[in-house]
Amino acid sequence: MPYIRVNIDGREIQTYRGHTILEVAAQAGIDIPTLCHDEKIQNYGSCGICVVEVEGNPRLVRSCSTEIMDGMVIRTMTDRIRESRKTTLELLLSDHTGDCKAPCTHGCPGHVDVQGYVGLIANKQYQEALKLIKKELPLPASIGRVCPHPCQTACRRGLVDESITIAWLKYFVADLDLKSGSPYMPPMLPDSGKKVAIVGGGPSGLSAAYYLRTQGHAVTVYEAMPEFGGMLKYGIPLYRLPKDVLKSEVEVIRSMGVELKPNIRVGSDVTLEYLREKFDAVYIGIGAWTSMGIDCPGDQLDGVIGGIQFLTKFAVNEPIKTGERIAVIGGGNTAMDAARTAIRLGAKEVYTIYRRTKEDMPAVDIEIEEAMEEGVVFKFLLSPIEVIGDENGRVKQIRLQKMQVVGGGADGRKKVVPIEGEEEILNVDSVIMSVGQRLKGEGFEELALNKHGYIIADPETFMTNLDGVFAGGDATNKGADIAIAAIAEGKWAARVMNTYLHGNLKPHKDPFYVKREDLTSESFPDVVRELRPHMAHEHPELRKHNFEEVVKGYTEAAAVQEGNRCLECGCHDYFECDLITHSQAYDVKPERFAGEMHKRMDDDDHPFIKRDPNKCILCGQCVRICDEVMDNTALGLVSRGFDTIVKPSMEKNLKETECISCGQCISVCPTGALQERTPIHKPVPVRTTLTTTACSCCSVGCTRDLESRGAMLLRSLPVSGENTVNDGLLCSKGRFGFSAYITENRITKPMVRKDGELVETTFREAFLYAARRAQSLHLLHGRNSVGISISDRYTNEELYMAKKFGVEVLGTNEIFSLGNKKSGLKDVLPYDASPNLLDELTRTDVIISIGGDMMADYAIAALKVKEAVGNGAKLIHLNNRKNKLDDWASRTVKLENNLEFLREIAKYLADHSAKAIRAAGLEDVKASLADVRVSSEAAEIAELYLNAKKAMIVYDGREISLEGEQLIASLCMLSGHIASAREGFIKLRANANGQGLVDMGIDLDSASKYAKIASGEIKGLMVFGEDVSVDAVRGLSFLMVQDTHMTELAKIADVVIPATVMVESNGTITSAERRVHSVSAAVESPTGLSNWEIFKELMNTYSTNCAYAGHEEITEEYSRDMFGYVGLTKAKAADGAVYWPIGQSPQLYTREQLAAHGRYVIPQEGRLFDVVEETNYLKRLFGAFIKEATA
Amino acid sequence: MKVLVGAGSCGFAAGAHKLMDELEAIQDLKFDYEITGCIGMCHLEPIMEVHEGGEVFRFVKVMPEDVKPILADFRNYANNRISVEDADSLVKQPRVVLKNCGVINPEDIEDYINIGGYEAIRNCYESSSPEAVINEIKTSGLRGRGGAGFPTWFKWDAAKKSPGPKKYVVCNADEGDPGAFMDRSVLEGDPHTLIEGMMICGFAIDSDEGVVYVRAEYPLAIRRLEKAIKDARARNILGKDIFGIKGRNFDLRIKAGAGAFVCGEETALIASLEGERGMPRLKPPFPAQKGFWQLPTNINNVETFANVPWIIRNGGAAFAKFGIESSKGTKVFALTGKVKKGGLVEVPMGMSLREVIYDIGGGIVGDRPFKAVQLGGPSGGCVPAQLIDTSVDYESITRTGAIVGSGGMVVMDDTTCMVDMARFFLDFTCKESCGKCTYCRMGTKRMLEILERITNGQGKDGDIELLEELSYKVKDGSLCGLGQTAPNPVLTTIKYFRNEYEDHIYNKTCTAKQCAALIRYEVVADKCIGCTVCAKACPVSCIKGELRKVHEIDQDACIKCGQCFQKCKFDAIRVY
Repeated sequence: MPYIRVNIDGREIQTYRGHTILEVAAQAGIDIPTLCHDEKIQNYGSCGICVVEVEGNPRLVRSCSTEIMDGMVIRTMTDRIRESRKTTLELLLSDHTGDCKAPCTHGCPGHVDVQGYVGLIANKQYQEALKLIKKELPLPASIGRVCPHPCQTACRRGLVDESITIAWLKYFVADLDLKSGSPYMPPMLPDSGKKVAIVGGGPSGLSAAYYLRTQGHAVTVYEAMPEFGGMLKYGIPLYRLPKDVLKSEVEVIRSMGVELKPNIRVGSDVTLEYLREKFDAVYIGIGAWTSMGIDCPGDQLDGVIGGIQFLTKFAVNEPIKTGERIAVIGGGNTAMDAARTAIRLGAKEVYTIYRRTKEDMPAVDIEIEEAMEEGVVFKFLLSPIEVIGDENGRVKQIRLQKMQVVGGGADGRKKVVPIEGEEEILNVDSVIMSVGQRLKGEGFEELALNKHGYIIADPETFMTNLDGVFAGGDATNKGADIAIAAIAEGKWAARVMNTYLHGNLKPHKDPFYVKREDLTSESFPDVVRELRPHMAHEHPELRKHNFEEVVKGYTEAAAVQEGNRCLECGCHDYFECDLITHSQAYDVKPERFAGEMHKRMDDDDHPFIKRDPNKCILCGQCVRICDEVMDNTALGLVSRGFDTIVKPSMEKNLKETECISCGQCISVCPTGALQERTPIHKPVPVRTTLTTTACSCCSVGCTRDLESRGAMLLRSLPVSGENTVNDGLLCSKGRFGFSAYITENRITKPMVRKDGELVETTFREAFLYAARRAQSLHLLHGRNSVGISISDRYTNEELYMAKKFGVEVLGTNEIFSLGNKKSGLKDVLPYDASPNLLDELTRTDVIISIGGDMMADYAIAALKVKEAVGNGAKLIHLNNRKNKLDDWASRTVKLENNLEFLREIAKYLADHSAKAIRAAGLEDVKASLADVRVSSEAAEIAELYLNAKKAMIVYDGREISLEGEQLIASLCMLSGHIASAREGFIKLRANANGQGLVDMGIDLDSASKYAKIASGEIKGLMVFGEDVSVDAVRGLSFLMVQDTHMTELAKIADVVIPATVMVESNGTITSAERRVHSVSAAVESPTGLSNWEIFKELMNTYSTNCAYAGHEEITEEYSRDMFGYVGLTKAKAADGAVYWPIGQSPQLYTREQLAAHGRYVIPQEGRLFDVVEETNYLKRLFGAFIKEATA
Repeated sequence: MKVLVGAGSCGFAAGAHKLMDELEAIQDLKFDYEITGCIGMCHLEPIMEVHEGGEVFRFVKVMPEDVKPILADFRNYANNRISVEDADSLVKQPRVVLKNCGVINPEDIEDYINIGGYEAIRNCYESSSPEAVINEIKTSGLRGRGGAGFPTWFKWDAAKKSPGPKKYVVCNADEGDPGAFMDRSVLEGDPHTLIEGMMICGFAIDSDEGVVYVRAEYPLAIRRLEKAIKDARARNILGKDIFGIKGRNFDLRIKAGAGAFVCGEETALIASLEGERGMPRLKPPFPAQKGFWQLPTNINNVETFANVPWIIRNGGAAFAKFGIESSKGTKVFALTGKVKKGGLVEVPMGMSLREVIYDIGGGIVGDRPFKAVQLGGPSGGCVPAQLIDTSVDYESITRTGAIVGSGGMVVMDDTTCMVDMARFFLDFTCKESCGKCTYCRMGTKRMLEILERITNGQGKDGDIELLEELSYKVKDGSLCGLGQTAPNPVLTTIKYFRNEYEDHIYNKTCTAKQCAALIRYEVVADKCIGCTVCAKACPVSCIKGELRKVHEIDQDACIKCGQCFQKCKFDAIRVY
């Protein structure tokens, strides 16, 4: 019986032997958590959270390593399992130091991702920053102005110098958005058919409306006042929040489709009962609009007014007579607002009377400071005991009790008591009582209230005593709080209400986060002290007479500078961290195991890999993947027990080990212990967009996911799966070679040489100029006097366009690639291409690798060779220098730079092979090798090769000479090891689209082209993406260069056109194994024009009517008749790999075909190894960076 | 006349080399003078025996100056003569494993051959079959003596049946339990028995190569085993075509381990043998299927192998006569702690703990009350006084919560704090954890911290329950035997001495008066004569008092080292 049957969680599952429980469960879609397992490495079983129960086994078993057996009955989630996993996680967390999220985010009652938007601002991604804010906060321009910003209070930068001015940054981006003319509109789900009524158009109600609307619900907001905004509108003075700002933000909510109904007081104009009947749910966010008084004689006198009433009256333009001397009682923000408004209304003396000290004041420091600047007199340690009226019952004086501080109270606050008999009397005209607010609850009598008179709302569901009626904000539970708290409750209530409306009420709960509280000002020795950038303020003397906004807002430069001061407290791995995902799912409480925690310093300065041993949970995956997959031991486990730690080998700095920067360790790390050093300007942890695309760094054709956010390219990650050649692996180039070196110093504008200088211009002018120059050369010297040279880092579509431009528009035949060289393959075989696929290497029996440094230049291909050796294949390594392949090879031969050794092998094969392809020239082979004496070494190797059941050769096409290639192809034919699966050879190519270059008919014979340039035959050259030697092109009379950077070549060009790189391009490339890969842009081109569009525009400059609407049309066009690509569009649409020639066997050739079309070529002498200059400037940049970073 | 000197590590530690120097110095040696291994009575070393005319005269605690007088008149020399009681306790031990220890010269292969050594393997080669050997082991009922007590024949059979181009016999001589030294004794006192045992195993499972993984801290054992291997090779007892019998090949080499406790775990031992970090691997596959270099491997410890030649020579049935039905044969224990006569004892399975401790061990030092005995080292557990009549066999011991383990037996009296004892053993396992799996690495650490705070007087309500919870989870969730057994000392002490835990936590007292944070030393005024001895002894000078006047201890400065208590001759210092 080939299959077996197991039962997992009650489900009968049929499967095959040899799988683990974890694998079978995963296939069946049953999720078992694990932190130490990866398919690429051997079972290890260290973390222990994958435990399951197997019937009949008293112990919990590790599913990652327990093989299934027929009849097994498995349970993956029982109380015992849940408990064990939970404790495992708690134990891991008990020695896991870090901050999942930054303290600012925890400090914010709305948990807005502060670090995220501050970091995005630092990277100038303002729109992204705004989107991030609006995910949690719908009124950022208003809140940024009025919020007492507990986020800023929590900001750790404050330990170093000054906390980040988070609130200002917030309204900086929010203002940009509002001023843009088309403010950001959040994505909204289609109409749900559910209706929600919101009572109260203040911060809480508006937030609820905003988030309910994004879920597709029909929302109506009832507001008693004429305008929306609640306390933001009526309780905050204009000098803090200009009315246009609030209005614009409310307008966004209205334009989302929220119905805003002003001037309707629920309770009197409509009843709550009515709303309950008409709507599917109701949210009450009516705030707390009654000022509390101080219970003292005289508090009913004329001239005593509540702080909120005072501010509201002013806001609605009701006349208020307050006189010239005003006492404001209270120390909160409302008291400050009242006092400062009073000043602006012309009061001569404004006192703020507070019963405690300045340090105890709940108002924000800046408010106090600004009030003082404006002349408010602060009187501390005074408590009103009587308001004294005149004969008309109007306030005349206020009698105050002097207080004193007598040590700390039980709550940690200072305790103040009256000083017996000491009083003070102030002459005042008005008393503004601003000591607290109360609910005004008329019309809501059905709602249950607590003893303080606030509506009782469940803290997790926000439901009141009435089903379907939710409530939040100042009106509920603890009463008045800051606006962001009300917004948060409105938001969370909206999310709960959404689940309620879908019939599955899910309470709101703060998830578990790892936090650290052990940091002090001493903890940041390396942070350079830098104060906040200057923020312009209205002068106090001016502002006290008007209601203009006091602060002027950040300039862009200041905002970016301020964003860069962020200490990046939150873990950059938060969005990928498996540990936190599981911890939140299992509701952990690690504090019960609080104990010793490691504090390890990491002074590693690896250019790409950032290590934080304090976040390591010792799953060992990094160590194992480095060893088992990459055959490297850059990392290892050191010490024992609790002190076990992962360290670079021999306690060195990681970059000094044999680390090859492949980043595999980071990919498997389940926590933030190993992270990429992100190449962007200011690293910031944010959710990203993934673009799956082919790697652009060499011809292996790996598939990678490019992570981006806005215009930022953040990471490049390997993709796994059968349909990929790299199956979850990448090399250092693919993993890290895309970044800053590419984005920095890019040229984004075309340039034309005027009076000897290159000056920026428009694309149009540049194209016109180039066209004129090329045309005149054409007229003077003939059509072939202008050449086009293009790099194989361009896509097939771009190459096709280059060729089309050359042939159809310029009329030249000189279309070539100066970075390439003529191949010898086509002299022997029908095509200049690898006849085999890379994966065939893994299952062949003998591999001969000739020249090159595969592990350094084509690591993923090299790993196929390693896998083959692991499977028992013999590797023969022929080279003129040592490299990693020697570790795996069973034979290594050091070659001279000539053809002798290969000719010896050829001779042996010619003498002994019975399977040689009967192609032309076979009869001459022996004669042309007559003088060769076969050494015993060559004979042994040739014998091994000849007698192998399956055998392949692999070489670096850039390095092997034309004659070398002729010999290699001839060896394959002589031995008969070709034209069959796992038999043949692989020609690796330096650039991603090396094969596409051949297929698109670009001439590779650079030597002859250089000669033509030197001889003056070619007088004008348009170079695309090739930084060829300046000396080689000096004689040209016209040079156009398209490249990404100001290369040496570009510096001498007449026209310079900015180029797009592959991560910004769309199209296809053809890899070394002839596989046609799709390339998709992860970010937009900073130049505004993609490469193919540049060709299109160039062509149209010549009044050609080139009208492609997209790159797909180019693909479509050449896939109609280009040899091997016919049917590409259709083939791409289907799943799976597509190989050139489309529709044929993935292996090239049959014996018959070769017998008919092949031709033996046995060169007599020549070099085996060529040195080819690297013309790909991007590669040179990355190479230089690595060299410098690891020096 | 022949003179034998006990020259095990214990003998050397007690000064045997001086005795040997003395004997060497006697110019005119009219007698054979030889060394031998440890006879088990380490507390009586150095031991010297004079064999004459079939009689043995055994002298104990012999100093160099005693040598000449003894030799001069060994029949009548009364000093240093072994006591009747001690001699008796030897008689009570039927010896299988240790039968040659302290009897033959471990460095002389002839000695071993003369007593019938290597006959068992010769018989196997000449006239037996692997099946018959395994069957004999099965009849004997021999179970692994390393800790788990797994039936030996079963492992051999599994290794025999596992297909492989090559198989290995590995001897685990990484004896890591603190206080256990039975394997060392065999290696030092009778290395050829081990070699023969491994050869028999090789014959049974069809292996021609053995490796002895010895801890590097056993230099003498390594030296003697090396010599034994060399001598055996020289006599064609190891190597190719052994005894001249075509195709009978077996050879042996030593691998010195770097001394990690966890390397006693068989998969970790294999990892270490292969040059990897000594960390356990997941089972299955078991070593019998995929062991050393992924080939079928049988691993037993020294004591297990040392039983084998005897069984083959005398028959499995004879071995099975020792012991009881479920646990057959004898077991060697390292008897230590507060027992009068510590050392190695070999007892038949089924003997009661009382017999071992009182009849063989001579009872408790100072005749204090017996409190408990820790069985099986750090992986084992404690058996309290009320269970002293428990039979020493695998099942009975396991029922108490302890294990037979490798045979550590630490006897405790009423001055041992059980919480502190648990803390001590957990401290050991915590440090020896390889750090691979979460429960062992983190769980034992957090358990240790809880125990530390309890013994420091900072225990809190819920700690016992937390300890129990963690104990069960660590047992359940750890990857290898180290973690799976590490909580045993904690669990058994909580089971039998919960009141002591509660005293520490709730009453802030240590019943045994061992936990420094919970005790204080005070001067008993009516006993203090003002001799100033205590004040002089105090390392922090916190005892004040004039000569001939009552002294006083400054409690704030006292570090509770107990010096005053030990130095006072008048019982004037009391611990509270």
